[in-house]
Amino acid sequence: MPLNIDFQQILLHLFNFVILGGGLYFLLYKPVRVFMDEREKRISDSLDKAKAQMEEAEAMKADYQKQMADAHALIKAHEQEAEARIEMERRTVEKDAKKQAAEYLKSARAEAEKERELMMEEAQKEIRVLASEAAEKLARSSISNVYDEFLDSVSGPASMPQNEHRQG
Amino acid sequence: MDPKKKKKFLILWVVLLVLLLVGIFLTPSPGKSETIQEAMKDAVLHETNKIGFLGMEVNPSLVSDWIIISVLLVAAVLIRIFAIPRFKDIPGKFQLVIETLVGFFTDLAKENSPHRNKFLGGYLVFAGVYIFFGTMFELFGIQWLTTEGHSIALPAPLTDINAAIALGCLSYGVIMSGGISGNGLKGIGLTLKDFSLPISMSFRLFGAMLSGLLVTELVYYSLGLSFLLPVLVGVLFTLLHAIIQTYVLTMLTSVFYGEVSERKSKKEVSEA
Repeated sequence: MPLNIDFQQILLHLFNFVILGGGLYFLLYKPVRVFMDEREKRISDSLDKAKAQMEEAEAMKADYQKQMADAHALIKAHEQEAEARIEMERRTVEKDAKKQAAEYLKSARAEAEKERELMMEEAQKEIRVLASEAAEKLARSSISNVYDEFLDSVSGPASMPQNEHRQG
Repeated sequence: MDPKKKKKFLILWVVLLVLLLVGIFLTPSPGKSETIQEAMKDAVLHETNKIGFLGMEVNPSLVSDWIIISVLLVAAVLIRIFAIPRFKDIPGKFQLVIETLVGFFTDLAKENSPHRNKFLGGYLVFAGVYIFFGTMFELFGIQWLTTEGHSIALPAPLTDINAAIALGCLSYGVIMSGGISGNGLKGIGLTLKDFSLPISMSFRLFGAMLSGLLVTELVYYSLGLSFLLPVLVGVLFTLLHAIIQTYVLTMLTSVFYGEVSERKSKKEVSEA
């Protein structure tokens, strides 16, 4: 045969190749591939699981955010309601207070008037007393003067020493 | 290192080298057992140096084959028993090497034959590992006795045309099996239209491997070229050869496999 081609040796080589090919396929390639595929599947499953968990978490987050928004709206509504109620109560209290204050003022005024009247009455009474006393005094002094004048006119200057004496 | 010691070491080293060189040139050569022409012819044809095996005379490449296959199978068994059960999700260095090896050929198979690639991946691992380690085997220079009583260095198996033809034909058979599994009997027709494929694959492999061998033989044959140069020629050429030929054959096989195993419509088949 040209180039020393020998079919027996070709077959012997093929025999060797089949042994080596089978051996490497079952001992090395297949177990390593199985391991790599399983690992890939494991990682892929983990990623899918993580993705699903992520989606679930996102949904929960969205739900939570919605609940939060609802709660905020509710709180705001309650706040507004409370503010309105407080405003209304404030107005009522203010109105009552004003009313009460007016009543107090009115009664105070009435009392003050009453007191003033009483004071006036007393003052008038006192004035009257003072006036009467003053009048009495005045009358008394004017009477004595008149009497003195009378006595002077009656007794003349002779009686002067008496007057002087009295005055002295 | 102490400078004095370093100096001493360098002087001793140079003296040793000079003595060895003197010895090499003064020692009489036993004479060449064969001329360069004979060495070249035997490297190509393997006509003279045969090895006895079970009453048959076989080429030295078959012995190389057995050694490589034994070593690879033992390694595969050890890896299967001790390493693979301990594989972790985050790989260590050794696991990374194994996964890279399997992953490289699996990816090559998936890339070139996306529809059908499980068996192809396994075949590519075998072919790749065999070609790479078969080529690197040449570097060990394991000695063996021929039937004539000479000692020869066992060559890389694929430098024997019979091994190259066997691998080429096996690859063609795998391609045809892909055609049959993908397109049934039409797949055989699709594969047979590339009838030159086994020949081209075999001879490409043989030629590439042989050229490397011949260059190395030439370098080793001359004493003048035996200093330093074989380190570069032997190791680098062999390593490059191993990588290139591994890639070429596995890539060609996967491309043709993908082409014939792809499910085709009746129109496409008749056009082909």
